[in-house]
Amino acid sequence: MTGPQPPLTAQSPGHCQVELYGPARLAAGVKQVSIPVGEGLSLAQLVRALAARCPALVGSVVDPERGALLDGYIFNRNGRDFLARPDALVRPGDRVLLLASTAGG
Amino acid sequence: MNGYNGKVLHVDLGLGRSWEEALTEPVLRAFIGGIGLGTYLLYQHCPAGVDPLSPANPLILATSPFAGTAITTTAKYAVLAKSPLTGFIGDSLSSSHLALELKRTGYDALVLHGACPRWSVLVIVDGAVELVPADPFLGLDTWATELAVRAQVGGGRVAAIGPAGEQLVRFATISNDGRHAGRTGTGAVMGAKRLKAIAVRGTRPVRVADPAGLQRANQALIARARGPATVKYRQLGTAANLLAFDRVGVLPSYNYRQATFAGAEQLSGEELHRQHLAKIVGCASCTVRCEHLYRTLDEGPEAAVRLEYETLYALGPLLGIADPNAVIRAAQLCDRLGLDSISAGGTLAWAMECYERGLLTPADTGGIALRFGNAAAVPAMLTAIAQRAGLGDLLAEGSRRAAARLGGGSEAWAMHVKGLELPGYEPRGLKTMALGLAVSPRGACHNRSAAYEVDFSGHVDRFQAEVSRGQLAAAAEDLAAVLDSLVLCKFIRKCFDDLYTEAATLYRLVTGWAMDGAELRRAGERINNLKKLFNIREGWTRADDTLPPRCLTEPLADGPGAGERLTQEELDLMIAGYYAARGWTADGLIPPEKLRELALDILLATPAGARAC
Repeated sequence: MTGPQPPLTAQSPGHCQVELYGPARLAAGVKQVSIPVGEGLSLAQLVRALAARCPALVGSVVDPERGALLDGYIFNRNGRDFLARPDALVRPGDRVLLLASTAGG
Repeated sequence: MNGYNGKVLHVDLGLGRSWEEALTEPVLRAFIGGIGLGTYLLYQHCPAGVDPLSPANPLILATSPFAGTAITTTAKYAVLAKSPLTGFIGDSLSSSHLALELKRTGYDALVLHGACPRWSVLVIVDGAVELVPADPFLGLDTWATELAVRAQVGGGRVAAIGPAGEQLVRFATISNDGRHAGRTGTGAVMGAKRLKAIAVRGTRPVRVADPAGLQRANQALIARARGPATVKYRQLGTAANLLAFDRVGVLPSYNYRQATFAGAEQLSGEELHRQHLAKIVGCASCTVRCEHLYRTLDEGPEAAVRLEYETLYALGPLLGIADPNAVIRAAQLCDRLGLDSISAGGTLAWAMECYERGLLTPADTGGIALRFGNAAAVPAMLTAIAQRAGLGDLLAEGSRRAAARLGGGSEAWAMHVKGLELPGYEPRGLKTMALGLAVSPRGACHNRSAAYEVDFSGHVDRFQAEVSRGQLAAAAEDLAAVLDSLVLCKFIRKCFDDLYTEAATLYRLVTGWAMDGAELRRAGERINNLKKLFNIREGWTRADDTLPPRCLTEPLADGPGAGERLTQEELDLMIAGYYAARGWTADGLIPPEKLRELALDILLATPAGARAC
């Protein structure tokens, strides 16, 4: 039997790692993106930063004008908390997962 | 009638005779179709306390008002019987062409009584019914049976059982068009009736009340169903769940001893898409096209199969297997043999843990090393289950009965609820889903309860148990019941701004009957209450609404939720909230006033499952 997964930790100081899964990964063509967050970013700011770093996500995954993910997607912070509230913050060292929010199957 | 045919076809397989039963507007409005109508018919025609494998257990196939119309994703039909796996209500949905052909025979449902004197194929061509010998088809797998029967009867569509159904494996499926009525073992009920296949051919048109209005509404729905709400299904299929679940620590692995899996990346939907994708297809009448067929790439026997998340989880991480080629082969074998892949995987995982603990030995397994991660063991064990050969005879009973028979404390790691093996959602990391699994009438089910959506929403703490989750779980069940009865595929549920109101509009356009969102929501509640009534009649008690001991006594071992627990007290709190939200007693029984509120006292002959509180 294999051991547990290594803990989710970001690598770059002052940054968060956004990991892309599902259609977001297909659209971006990369598995993860490092985003500078200063002392913290709101979800809207994170979306806009992500759109700037990965333009391929605009219109299919993120809406930078609204500062929101499109329907069908959700952020998760450090593998624990799904983020939907506007006052949620992403801080340096956080690992943010960008997931499809629908399940089933 | 528009949308409906207004009648049921009853067939007595033993006597070889058939008759029709009229369906009234009040019954159809109350139970809609599909799962709802099937539940009503099962309650009416299944004798209380019947052995599920006896001839007296009726097998029901039910269509829906939307089947055969142009509405996207509606080519589905329901299969119901008393489940030989759980002893409670057994219901499942299958998809594609047979649903349409069944509707065009001119009936809203088939109710099959008794058992054939000898193995037979039931042939229904419009209203004509015939039983023909099935001898040439016995022992054939599901695919071969469909092809051979279609060739013999000259077309139409076929629902068939494989070797597993013939051997009365308690989690045998009924298969058609490469799709399956998978859960709760209705394939065994069909096998107990010595019915190898059902062939249907129909020419009756499906009429709708407002064709122009329906076309406009359907075009709008199709456009939304091509948008972001379904992109995951269209691009990657449900296999995309696997890596996401691993990363948030809810991917059950090694028989629920872990919640993450080291091999998740190589088994992921993303990798399958990149390396193994053969083609993407869709059901009849579907514009989403979610079916991803994957092929093997190694030097072993070539295989290609449609692979959904649940099969991927159950034959992959649950068994400690990370090789996609092995999982693809095992999935194809389940499909051909006619085995529910979730229950097969769950039962094998139990057996692997028994082997690891020394309760099963090589002498029991015929020399097969039934260890986690040993992919080579799986095909042989699946075949043994389907044939009820050696250890397969024990495993064919499902994990609950197998554990009860084997003993040695193995019930502690049989991962089922009410006898139905768990789907791939770790309850200790998704506490609303934990509630949904515990209380679902058909056993541990991700389909009849979409309570996981609450946990994934970001509006609740998924690691916290709250009494308020009860209302959320009940609401998720009622929505699922409506979708399963209209029928609309759950994959387009996010394509509506107000699903009940918009679905009611579609219903009105099809049937011409006035219907609003509130009435449709009430139908969902009514259907779930009737399922509960059936279960109460068949011996349900409060003790049946629970989770496996492992989920209630062991913390999560790994992942972001490592150390998190779900206690009995937490589960009881949420169940109490669910019963209260349902208007049931503290013991989970349905009081007479709730029956009256839902008009079940009028709609049913005698609500035998109701007890006064």
